[in-house]
Amino acid sequence: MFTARCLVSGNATGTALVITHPLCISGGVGVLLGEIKDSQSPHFGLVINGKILVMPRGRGSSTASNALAELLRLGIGPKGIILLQVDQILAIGSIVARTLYRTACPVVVADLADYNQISTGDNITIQPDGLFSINFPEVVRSNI
Amino acid sequence: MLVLEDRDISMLRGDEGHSRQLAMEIIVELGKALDAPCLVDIASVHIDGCVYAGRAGLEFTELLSQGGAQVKVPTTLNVGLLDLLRPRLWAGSLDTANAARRLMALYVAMGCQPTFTCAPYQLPKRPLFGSHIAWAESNAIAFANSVLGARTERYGDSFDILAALTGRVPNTGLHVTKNRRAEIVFRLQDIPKRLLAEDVFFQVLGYYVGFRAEALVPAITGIPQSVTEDQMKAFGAAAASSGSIALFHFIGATPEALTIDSALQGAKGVPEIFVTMQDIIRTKDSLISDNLGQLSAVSIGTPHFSITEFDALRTLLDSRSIHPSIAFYVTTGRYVREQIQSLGWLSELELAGVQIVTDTCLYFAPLVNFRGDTVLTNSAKWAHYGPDHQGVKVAFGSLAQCVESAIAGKLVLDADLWLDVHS
Repeated sequence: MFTARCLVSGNATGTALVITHPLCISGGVGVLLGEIKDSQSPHFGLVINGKILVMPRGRGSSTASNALAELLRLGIGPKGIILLQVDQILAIGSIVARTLYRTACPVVVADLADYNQISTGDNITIQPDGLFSINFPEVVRSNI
Repeated sequence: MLVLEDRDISMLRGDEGHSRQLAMEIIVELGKALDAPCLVDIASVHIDGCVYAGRAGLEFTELLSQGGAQVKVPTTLNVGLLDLLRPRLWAGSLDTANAARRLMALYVAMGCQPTFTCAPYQLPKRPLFGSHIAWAESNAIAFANSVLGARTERYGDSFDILAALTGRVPNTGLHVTKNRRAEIVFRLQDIPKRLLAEDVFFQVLGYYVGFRAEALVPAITGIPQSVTEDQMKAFGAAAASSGSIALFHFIGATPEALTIDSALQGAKGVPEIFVTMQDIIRTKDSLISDNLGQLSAVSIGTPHFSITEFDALRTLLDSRSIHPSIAFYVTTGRYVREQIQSLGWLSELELAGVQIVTDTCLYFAPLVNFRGDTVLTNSAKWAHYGPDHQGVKVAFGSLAQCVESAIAGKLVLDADLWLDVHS
């Protein structure tokens, strides 16, 4: 178990998507598929829908909060968010969606050492107290 | 441990109605998560949530406005998605227009002033030095913190209205003196004096600093004391586009940075970056799309054009007219529009072929179908967001280049401006 600071509490389990280049959710994510459409992002085309989004922080516009709430309303947002730095704008987006649609998208802030343990594809569980666990994917075994 | 005052608890209990109760619940939840010791009174709010970005924002605003809830502190509004003074300028769907209009009206009904500008610092009443405020809209946040010395966190849509309904925010982040110190220093090296006087230089410098500083508070040395508010506006807007800059210090020019020591609050060993002409030119070139087509539009006024910028535009136009093949847009706030109208400049500019757009912003609002066009702007923020939002190719240059190109009907280069020579 890794401890993290909880900005928005909730349960989530999902596959990690690690984003190195801070993502501007407002305009940077498609509202049909939840795909990253920021042409300047090295993660262009990856889908955040249903993932545990792992990124250092959000970027840019104040509109990111309502943009995150809209993705959650449409059911194409992330299942949870793990950050390195406090980001009130993303936290409020998750709270707005919870208030209106009862969606749970926990937002937690991890320490660098713990954060660095996470790789894309890991299975992550976030608990309401902010603790999270990483289940590293098992090597797929072929049937003998 | 968040310590609440009686009036906070009273709002939490619902004594002032359901909307303020919900607002205070969320503020307290965030305050606890952020380890704030207490809440702080704010003198004003600038709301960004009035720009329509989907049903979620609209439905949250509808929920809060139920029961006639009113804001508690003077509250201004950022741009919306359409120009309410020129509603025919619209290329989006009717549903979106109606939702966008409804959202703007809901905020006005809650007691917000219909300012509809991203440059609230151009309005007559500005926040005082050291006062706590809750402003959203990234460029306005940067200007309020850096140029006015007021104190605001980087607030987002939907939190802004909670702050307005209660007049309270968690006392954390940039509300606290120690978090306002410079964390990285940029030293201008051998930048020609001639360029240091140009507004467009500050666009490019801001874009570079935002990219390098990311979320740190930057201090910049080598800025002339003659730096103008328009130039600081340009810098902040650009830095808040390429990075998450909410506060910057121009040493010797901005109020919390009379000296480098005061900006650093005595901190030692802060990382330093030297900014050369090569960095500036590379950054400027990065703002220009590949394979530009025939120029079809010029869009300036991101952030909203000021009176001094309108004056510069008139001087540059020098009684000449925009070429008929070019659509020339200037975005500004209603207040500034009224000012230029009373000065007689509005009709003069309109006669020259300039289209004044208020209440909104052209890099994202669907007012004009720009798709596939080549648009020239003097704004790094426009150049940053425009290609993805509007599907355009972007050329970037000075206001003079924008005007000369618009008159000529084609892109006019201004390579001389960027020459690495001192004159």
